[in-house]
Amino acid sequence: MMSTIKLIRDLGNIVGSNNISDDKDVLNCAGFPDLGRPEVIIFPTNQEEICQIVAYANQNHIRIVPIGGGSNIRSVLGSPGGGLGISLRSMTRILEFEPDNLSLIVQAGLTNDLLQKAIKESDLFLPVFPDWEESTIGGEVGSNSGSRKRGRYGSINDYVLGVEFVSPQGQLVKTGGKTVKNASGYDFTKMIGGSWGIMGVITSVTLKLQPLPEKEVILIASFKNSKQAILVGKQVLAAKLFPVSLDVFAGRGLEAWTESAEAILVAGIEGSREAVEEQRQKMMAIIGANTQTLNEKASIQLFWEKYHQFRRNLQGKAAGAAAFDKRLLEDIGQALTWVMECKGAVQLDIAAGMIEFSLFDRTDQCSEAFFKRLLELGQQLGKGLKMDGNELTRQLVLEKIMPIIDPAVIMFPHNRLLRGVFRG
Amino acid sequence: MLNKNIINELQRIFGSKDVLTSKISLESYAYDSSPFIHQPDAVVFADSVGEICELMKLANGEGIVVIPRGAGTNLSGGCVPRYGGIILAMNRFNNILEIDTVNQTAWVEPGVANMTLQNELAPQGFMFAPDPASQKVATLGGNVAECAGGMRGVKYGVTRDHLLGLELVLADGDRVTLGGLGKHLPGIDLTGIFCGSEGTFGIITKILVKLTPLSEAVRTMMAVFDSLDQAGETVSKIIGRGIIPTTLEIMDQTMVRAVDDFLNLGFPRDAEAVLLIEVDGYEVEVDRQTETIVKICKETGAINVQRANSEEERQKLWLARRSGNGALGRIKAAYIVQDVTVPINKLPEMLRFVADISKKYCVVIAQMAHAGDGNLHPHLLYDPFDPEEHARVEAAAREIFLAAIKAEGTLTGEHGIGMEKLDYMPLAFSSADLGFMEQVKRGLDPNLILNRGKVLDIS
Repeated sequence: MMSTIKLIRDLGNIVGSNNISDDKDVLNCAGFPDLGRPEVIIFPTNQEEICQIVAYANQNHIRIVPIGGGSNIRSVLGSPGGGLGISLRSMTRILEFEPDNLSLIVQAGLTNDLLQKAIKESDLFLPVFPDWEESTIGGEVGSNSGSRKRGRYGSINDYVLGVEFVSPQGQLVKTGGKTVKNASGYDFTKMIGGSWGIMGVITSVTLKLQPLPEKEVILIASFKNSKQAILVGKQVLAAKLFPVSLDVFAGRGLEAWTESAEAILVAGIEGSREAVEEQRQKMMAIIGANTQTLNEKASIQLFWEKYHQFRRNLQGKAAGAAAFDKRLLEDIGQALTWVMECKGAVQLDIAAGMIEFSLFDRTDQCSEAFFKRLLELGQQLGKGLKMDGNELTRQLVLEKIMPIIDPAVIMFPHNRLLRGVFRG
Repeated sequence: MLNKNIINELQRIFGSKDVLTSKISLESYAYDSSPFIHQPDAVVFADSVGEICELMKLANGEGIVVIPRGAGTNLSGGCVPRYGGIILAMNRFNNILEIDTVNQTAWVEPGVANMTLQNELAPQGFMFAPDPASQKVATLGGNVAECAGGMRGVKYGVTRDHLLGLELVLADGDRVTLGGLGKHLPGIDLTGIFCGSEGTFGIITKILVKLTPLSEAVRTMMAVFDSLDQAGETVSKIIGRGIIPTTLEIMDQTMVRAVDDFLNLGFPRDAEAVLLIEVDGYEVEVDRQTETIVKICKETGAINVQRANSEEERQKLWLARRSGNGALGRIKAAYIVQDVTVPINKLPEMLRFVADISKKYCVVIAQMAHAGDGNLHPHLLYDPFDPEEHARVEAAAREIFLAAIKAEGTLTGEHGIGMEKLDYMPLAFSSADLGFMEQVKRGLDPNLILNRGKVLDIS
């Protein structure tokens, strides 16, 4: 094992000694939690430096962990940690913005927040909204993230036209391009996007943008219990109204919106002003008169801030998520009651078919009983409820590709998503 | 040539009726819709995934090339057995397994024709968004393998945007399932690499596609321009105003005249371009969109804008666009059709460039383009019995490829690399890009038995 001092000296020659550190605080500040943290963090400022760093790591068999804002790394960071963290935080430039091609090229370390601000004046947006302000585009692409409105807009990979990344062997590789239609050569945008750092370090991303909708409204309906909220949500699905978002919230944190209700159903509608008005009326007819309509930009903005706050709380301790078949909505709905029995918080994203929850305390009896019930429900529903995105046969494909693209086994090999993948 | 033992093995796997080796059958499977012709050594018809697994194990062990084939509408030589081998006909995998309108997904087998799925979905209020011109026969397996596009790309994207999962048999006979439920859970999903991989990564046996709700209203209009540049500029302006039409099709003067000579639609002879525009959405919103578009067309100098007021009138406007390919046969017997794609804002100069190339090489080039997504379809017309003219056409095509790369576009938007564009790959990609592609290919198919000699020319 190479000494930390030598590592810092050698890599310092590439990026300058100010841009590399083994200080705990610097590592924390870059987004790494204590558990599974690398030994050293490096802040390259351009692609060439990253190529040199990865080539060096490859020769010396040093593990690499690419990191953006650090908001999501916990979910995949295995222990023991060690190795070298590569932070993209110093690469934040907008490289090209072409509103008349609806395209934007940015360095991977730019935050989503700053990106949205830069394109808003041109009446464009990227329909991906992170829960954390520090979330970077590179990190979002690496984890294929999607958040509010994901039922309509999907996740960020749906907007990635091209990616530049440094391969595990230290070469700068470009995949995809600047056009929606592109059938030239293999398209690795959807492999690198969502690969959680195991296939390379993303350095820049070409994104497809959307025109900002003319009008947005949010409808919030309060219910005495979550079951009622879910039943109404089901009616909205059956009426084929396709709102951009349709969520039920319950449990701890709901007081941000209501003091009396046990659950709320929230529907987001956007588009042309005529279509929004028509959809709003149809929606009101289903969800009833006891509904609050948010019409103004300021109140809508405030709603989304509360929304993200609620979701940030869902990512704490004893948290979990599962995807479900929307035809089984009512069966899944039982889990909301169980979460509330444990004084937890839960979001049921009906539009996207996702349930996310946090029980805040993993050790108490209630939580234990909850996870047991959830597992039983999973067994009962079979393929209709999925709690783990990794399946055996996916790993089979990774076993064929990884030994060739990363023969030195350096690119985030201790990523939890690689568990069970045999590397030869 | 396959030896007798291999043929026996194939007959054991598929049954002797489903293994063709006669000269006439091999000739029938030697070509697709491109000009390339190479004979396979055998053609097999699979009825089950188990048969395909056995075939791949055999072929992988013996180093025999396998070429999966759908309807054979490929325009770049994707189904042509360049190095011989076994054609694996997938046409019997033609069941729609499940249509799920709640989750807006469908499981289909790869041999289902695109149009067959559309016809099943439409009464339920849905569509599968990719609509390649060959959709009446082209199969969904082929659509995925080539990342098929179509007319609606500008608004709805292409096949890769509507693919959620796959079941595949890999080169060594392993069966895998990728994607499906759980897009928003942490996990590594490799479905995407198979889209557009032209049958070189695996044999698709099942496909999970995303369904798109059909819009309740459609409005269609046609604008005539006496300048090609103005038509191109109109496209940029419409998108710049935040309107994403479903369809934005452009036809140049050569194409318009050919169609008019054929159908007598009464287009002005000096019209340099015709733009066919369609918007969709809710009934309450489409008229305002239409008015904005008509206004933009007039601002940019359209000499005539026509709106369809009924389905009959809409079909009439579409007739001109649909008759394009056929009408060209009146000018010359053969053509090469390219599908270079450029960023939307580069479209006007690219259309102009192609028009200039036509003059430079003294070649008739008729242009139509899916203008909204920057996808050009220059048709380079020639007499197949005139080698000198054919050489000029090839030279003109080369210049168009190079110009598209220079404009930060791509060699192919929806037809694939196949055999046709292999020579241009090193111009479009760096050696590191190609090296990474080769690594993934060798990882998935170390013996290069899956559709060898397509996408990458490696051996």
